[in-house]
Amino acid sequence: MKILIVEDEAELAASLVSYLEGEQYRCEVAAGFAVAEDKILGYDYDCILLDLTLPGGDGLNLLRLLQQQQKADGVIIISARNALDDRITGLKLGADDYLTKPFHLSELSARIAALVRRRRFNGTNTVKAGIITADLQARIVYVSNRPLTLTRSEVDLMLLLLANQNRVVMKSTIAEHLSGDIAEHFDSYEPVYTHIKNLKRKLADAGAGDCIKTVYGLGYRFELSAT
Amino acid sequence: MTRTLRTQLAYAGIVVVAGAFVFYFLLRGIYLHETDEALEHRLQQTANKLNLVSDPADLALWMKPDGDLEIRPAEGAPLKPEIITEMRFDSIEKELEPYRTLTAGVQYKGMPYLLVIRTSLVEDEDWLMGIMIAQIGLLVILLAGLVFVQQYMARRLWNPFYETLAYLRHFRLDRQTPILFAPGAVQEFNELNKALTELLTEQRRVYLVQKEFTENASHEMQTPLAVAHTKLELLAQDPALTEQQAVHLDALLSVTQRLARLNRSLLLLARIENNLFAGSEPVILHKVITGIFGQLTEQAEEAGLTFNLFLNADGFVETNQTLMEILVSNLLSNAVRHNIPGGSVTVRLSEAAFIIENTGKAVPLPSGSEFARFRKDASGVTGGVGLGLAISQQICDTCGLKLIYEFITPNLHRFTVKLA
Repeated sequence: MKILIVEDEAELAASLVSYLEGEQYRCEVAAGFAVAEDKILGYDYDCILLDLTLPGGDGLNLLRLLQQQQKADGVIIISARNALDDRITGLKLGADDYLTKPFHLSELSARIAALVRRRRFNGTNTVKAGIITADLQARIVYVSNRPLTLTRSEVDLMLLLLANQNRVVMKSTIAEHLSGDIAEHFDSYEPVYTHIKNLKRKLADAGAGDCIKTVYGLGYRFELSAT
Repeated sequence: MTRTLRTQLAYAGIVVVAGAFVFYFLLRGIYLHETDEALEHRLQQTANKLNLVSDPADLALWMKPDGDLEIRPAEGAPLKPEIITEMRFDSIEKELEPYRTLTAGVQYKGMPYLLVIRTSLVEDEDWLMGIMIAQIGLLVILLAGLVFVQQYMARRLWNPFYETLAYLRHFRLDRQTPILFAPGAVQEFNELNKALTELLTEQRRVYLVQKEFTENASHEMQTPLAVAHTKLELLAQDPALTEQQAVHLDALLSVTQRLARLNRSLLLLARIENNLFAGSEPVILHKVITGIFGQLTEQAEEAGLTFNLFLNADGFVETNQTLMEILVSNLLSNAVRHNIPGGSVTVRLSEAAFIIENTGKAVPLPSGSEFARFRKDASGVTGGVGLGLAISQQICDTCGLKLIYEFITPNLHRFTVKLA
């Protein structure tokens, strides 16, 4: 799977490449408007991560270009601009998602996974990890083909972890993923701890074993047991 | 201007009253003088005619019945003429009336006689009063006219000044209304307006530059923050991570997070101030509140708070949806965060107001700086960046709503958003 990263900040682009290549994506970087234009015209990508403020032009114009060329590349806008108009304009011009900088890598990864899957496997929208299967459309998690009874937050949490298998997902990422902007007002991670605890228990009860590891105080990692 | 007028009126009053007295005494003096001359003239005539009377008995015939003229024998040397004012009983008017009386000694057939001639002052006093009244009336009319003319002229003259004043009263640095003063006839006011235009234009420019600076600065910080955050996240992926390193990483991550939040809040504040949320649409507060409330349940449950919701109206407002969501979210989470264990949050919504009450510290927020930015909170509640209430107030300001804070003893904090 190919991802084009249109981002002029070299270090940020490098971070994205580093994280996403670990997820088995092939990444290309375009640091300016002209390079991005060439790449978009010349190749097809599964997903384009698009910064809006670029040297040499407005990222929104790249969206217009994609529309004109009737290209089907998925686009996630990653921008420091958080204006509602930008968001709306971007989505109107065919972008699939919008993330405001600074964002969490694991959140981005989950969004890319959702986008790619939505575009590639229309209908069969499932993720598999060992005996665990998640139906993204129906939002049901199965263990050995038996559905788990999970709350809405637990499903969200499960899907986030599944999109970042074998990666540490920061607890702050989980908090924001679960409660949205309101998490900004609270420094407490109690709800995260509670949800993780419940999810772990439900998975273990269903026979999936201990697949959510705690990484010191930082966060959690989903990994299938060696067995 | 009224001060000048008042002083002028007082002065005019004094002049009129004092003038009336002076005028009265002056007229009276002239009048008495004339009367006395007439009396002396009569005395001269009478003295001349006296010798024509042959019989002293006939002298009585000369005497008028009303006593205007009296001649009687006198002893001693003839007196020098003497004039006095005296009160006498008037048989016609039946009351005491003032008379001017001339008493003089005359010689009649070698004998000294006393001659008394009188003139009533009554008619002439009336005449005097008439003149006085007319005079005072004239003065009053003159004065009133002067006041009127002056008022009218002043109003006309000062009109541009009042227009300027009204404009300044409604002037807002953060509004884009053009700075326009209509040119008038008075040079001084035109110059004042010119100076004001220059001053306000410059102030507005400085203000805009400053506002833009905040927005741009926050904006520019987003990307470096993103770099820092992603690098830390990558570092956390290292399989060889030790616990010691994880502790440091955690601290760094939470600081970066805090910076990001702070920056986002500053940006939001700048954007609200810059009126970038201009769009206005029908917003139903009832929906907004229940929506935000749903997001808050976990935090509220964890804090062990009791929620009382009295949503008795739709809370229909014509304003910006995003801003209302931020406002409600800020106020509600504020009420949850600054609460006490086992406390409560009460939310009321009526057509007139949206009220949030929460139990909390038994100390009111410092009066006057309730909504100050980065106000240091002694309670040391963490999680916020100290801009929540500032943002709330800015939103209310922008949307034309009113945010009021009240403290109710012993420990109730109430925020009211007035809708109507």
